[in-house]
Amino acid sequence: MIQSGTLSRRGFLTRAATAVAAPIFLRSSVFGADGATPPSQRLTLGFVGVGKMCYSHLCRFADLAEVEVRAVCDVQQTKRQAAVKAVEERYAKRPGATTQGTRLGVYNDFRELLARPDIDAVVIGTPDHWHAIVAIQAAKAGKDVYCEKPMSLTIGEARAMVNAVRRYGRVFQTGSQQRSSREFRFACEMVRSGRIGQLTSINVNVGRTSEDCYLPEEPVPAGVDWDMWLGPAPWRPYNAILCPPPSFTGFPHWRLYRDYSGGGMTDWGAHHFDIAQWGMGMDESGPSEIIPPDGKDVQLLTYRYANGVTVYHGGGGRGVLFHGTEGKIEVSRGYLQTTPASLMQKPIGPNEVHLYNSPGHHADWLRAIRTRQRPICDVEVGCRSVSVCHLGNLAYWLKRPLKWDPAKEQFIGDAEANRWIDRPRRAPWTLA
Amino acid sequence: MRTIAFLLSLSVVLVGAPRASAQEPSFKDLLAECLPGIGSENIPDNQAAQQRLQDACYALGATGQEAARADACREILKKLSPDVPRPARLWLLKQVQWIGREECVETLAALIKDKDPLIRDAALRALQSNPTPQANAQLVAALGAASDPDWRTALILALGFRGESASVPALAPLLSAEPAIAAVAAQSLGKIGCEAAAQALSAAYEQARPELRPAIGEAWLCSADRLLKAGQTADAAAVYLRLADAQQPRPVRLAAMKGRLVAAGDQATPLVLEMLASHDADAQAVAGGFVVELRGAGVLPALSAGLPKLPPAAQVMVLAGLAARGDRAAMPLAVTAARASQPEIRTAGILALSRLGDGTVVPLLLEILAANNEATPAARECLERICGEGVDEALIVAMQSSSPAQRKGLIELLEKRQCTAAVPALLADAQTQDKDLRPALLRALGNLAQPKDVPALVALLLKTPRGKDRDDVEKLVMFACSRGEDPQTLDQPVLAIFQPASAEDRLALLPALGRVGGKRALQTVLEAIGSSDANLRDAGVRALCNWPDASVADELLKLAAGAPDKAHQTAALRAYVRVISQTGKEGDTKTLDKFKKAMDMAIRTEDKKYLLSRVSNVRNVKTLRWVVPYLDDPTLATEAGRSVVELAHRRELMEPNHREFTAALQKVLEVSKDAATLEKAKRIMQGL
Repeated sequence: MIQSGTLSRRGFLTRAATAVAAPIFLRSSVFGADGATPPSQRLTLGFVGVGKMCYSHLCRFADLAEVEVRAVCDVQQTKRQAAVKAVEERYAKRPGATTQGTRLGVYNDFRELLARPDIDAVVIGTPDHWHAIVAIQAAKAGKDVYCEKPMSLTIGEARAMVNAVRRYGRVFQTGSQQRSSREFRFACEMVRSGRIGQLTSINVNVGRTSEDCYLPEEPVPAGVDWDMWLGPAPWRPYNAILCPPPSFTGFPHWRLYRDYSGGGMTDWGAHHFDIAQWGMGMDESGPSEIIPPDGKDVQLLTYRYANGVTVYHGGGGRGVLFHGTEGKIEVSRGYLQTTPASLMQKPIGPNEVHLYNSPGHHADWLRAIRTRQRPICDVEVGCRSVSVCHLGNLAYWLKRPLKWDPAKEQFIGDAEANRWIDRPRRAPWTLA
Repeated sequence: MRTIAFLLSLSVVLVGAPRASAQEPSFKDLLAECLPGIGSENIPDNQAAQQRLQDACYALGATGQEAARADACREILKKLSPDVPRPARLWLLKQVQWIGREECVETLAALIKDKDPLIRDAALRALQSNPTPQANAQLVAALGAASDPDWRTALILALGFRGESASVPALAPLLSAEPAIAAVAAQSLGKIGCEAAAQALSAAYEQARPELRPAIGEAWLCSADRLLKAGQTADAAAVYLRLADAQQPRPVRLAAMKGRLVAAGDQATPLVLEMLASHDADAQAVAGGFVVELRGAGVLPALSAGLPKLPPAAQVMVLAGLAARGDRAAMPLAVTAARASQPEIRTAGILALSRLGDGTVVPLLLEILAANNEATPAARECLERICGEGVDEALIVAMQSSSPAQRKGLIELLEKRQCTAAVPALLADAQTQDKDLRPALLRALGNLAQPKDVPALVALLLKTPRGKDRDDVEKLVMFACSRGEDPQTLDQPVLAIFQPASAEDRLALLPALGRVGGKRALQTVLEAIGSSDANLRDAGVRALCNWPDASVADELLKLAAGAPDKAHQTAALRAYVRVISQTGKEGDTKTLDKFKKAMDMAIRTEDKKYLLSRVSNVRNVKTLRWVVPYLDDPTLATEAGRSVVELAHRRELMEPNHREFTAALQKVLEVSKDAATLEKAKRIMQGL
């Protein structure tokens, strides 16, 4: 049975009043009362959307002495419970506990978590269609943000996220963590230092675009706030493929559907197109033309950049394959090959290009919070990389070549394509 | 005429070249054809029809299709009446959301009053996305007539999404409405951001109730941002100044402080220092993040002068900001900080040097490294990353002159830096017998040595007595050769030395040549094996048994079966098992057959054990079936059990053969005496 799904602001207040669960009491000593980490140096974190990916972030952050997990939020009760258990188990193992308590907040609605003044920063691991709203609200609330990739559902959302982060002076790390891995940095340093001569083209090997959702209606299980799961997306009935039960241990398949994600293009694209952008030095720009395959002359989705480089979606190699006039560099996770092989035998010299050397994606974010500097995958980086993915998707969907102005972030000469830069949201959700 | 244009354009867009237009239906016909499917509640039926129509609609959005697009929209509008099934109406509304213009406005305006909330929402999305001023006017009119608070909220947000100044007269009065409505009206006015919106917001802010101040204040600031972008800097700066004081709501103040800095342009540095010195965490955070954005000639001198007066947390931010700016002229500031007494400033200075420093700071960093205090991890991190001129050279010199206690750390550092230039210096130490130093040295040389270093490595090899030490050096030769350019000539550097070498040196070199492998190397090794000289023959066999890949499997099998020397047979059989196990990862049953043959040839129990320990590389259920009977042999049960567990770890192998694996694991639990194997088997069984 289809039903309306708008959530009123009064509804929020009601929900807030009937908060999901009593706070869990944790011993203050586990956060440094034993002298290990002074309270003034601890960062307090909240986690929004603690599904498979964010759960692993939660566990890693909870293991750090310099961090205190203060709150978790999810629209699925089972996920909230699992998150609480993970935190409790970790904190129970810390030595020197006393009986004095501190609160672990447990929430269904992220706004309640963001309203807590004692939380410094949030980690966002919701499905993609929620990223922008939560991140912008978090920035507005004065929280620093770690947001899972892909950063947004639309190009407009990504730009709004940049504006909010800059506006409120926040630190934002996009979860495109390949930039914190040596092999990717080294590959991009070699490209930017001219070791393969002039860069001519790049093959980026990621999955396909998302599509319309045709999943049948199923009963909403107990403990799932389906309306909140949908949030800004158009209303549709529940299906477990989108929001699976705890017995499902893989990555849920909402990312296949257009209302919630850009599919493999944005999922892995936010990693590998991100590396292509880094290798080209395009962190504040993007392509000028996007040409979809036509089955004849154009076999692969093709991006043309103003610097003359062509980027293809697919077409060979693992991960990202850079072609230059004097060689090739192929890089993927734990894999780096160059042609000629000698290119990678020599470290980057003092007079070559040295890129930001992150101490680890999480560590880099925590350090940036303390120093107030931009981390390796700053919001602008995330915005530009995900925009490349979105542009590819739009070319696939509209099946026509698109000309793009990366400075204005507008399509040139295609008014209807410009309508896709952002999408209306179901009230009361907005990017403001 | 329009239909012909549509058909031609559609065919061009969809397939990239003109088609015979007679075969294409008009949009009207296409819609009629698809409509039953589009309206079906049955998902497999509606998907094809919906996608077919959607492709046609998207194609009509292309530039130059204006007339055909409008015609198509008119056809769609005819099918939005209540008698059309709901799935079809929703799908058609979704299409006009992306391609509808003025022709759709009137119908959509009517549909946002529909009784069905989903139709109403879909129509609102379509009207909200419609780029014409008429659509905005209809939304304004609908807002005027709306009474339900949720619906009013939706309409106000729709107007904000569009961002048209024409909405201001309708939205501005709502700033004094009930709080929930006033807050969203403020958000929408902020998004519109024109002068009229800014005026409405500034007027409302002064009288606003406290709970509304954040929403109205932020919206007012959004307007100020637009003023700034439009070059009205003084007007924008006045708004920022008004809203940056400590009494303002936190979000408003954060944005206002940031706005002040942006508006100050080249003159922002004193303001940054003032905010950093304020002991106000929010002001410090905003100003600290702005250091990297500061522009103008006097930035560095001003920051240098102001830095010592700032609180430690603010100094940390400035030092990190200077590092992010990458101006090496700031290096002296970082050096001073790296010598500071406060730990957080010292650490920040050291980390800044990783981006600003050069070889001249290496002694200081090594001094901090040796002090082994709270700054040492930062010094180590800095030394691993610092990339300025002369760093590697300074580290090599430091390594050469270091005490044995310090040397290991410096070797590891050079290895982490991938400092291939350090190889000659490392080789000078390579004969050390220091138990701490030697493993680090060998690891570093293994990771850094290049083909050009082979002559020096061979010289080292010839000086090294036979045994484990020489084995280690042979491996270094192998690693160095493996970095050669051409996979076909990796053996070239060793062969170049081998050919003119004395008979004695050739004996020493053969095993190393075997580790490198290669076609020409094989020829040399086989000649040695066929020699009448027993020593040369022995070295040849050792070389073949060192071979890095399975290309010599047949030669090894021949030796295992027929070498006159039993020791050579045994060595060849084990080498054969090693190389064939490299080829079995795809579950190749031919490889399993080779293992079976090797088992038939194996006489010694330890060889059979070795064989069983390697066979799990052949990831095939037939491997499991072959291994299981060995669980009954008490002398081989441990190795057989390990292989069963290894195979069971492969989910893709175990899941389709669940029963066989369950029985095998059960048997492992019964017979194995190996604690690790038992633990792993138990875990797998628990997961079944």
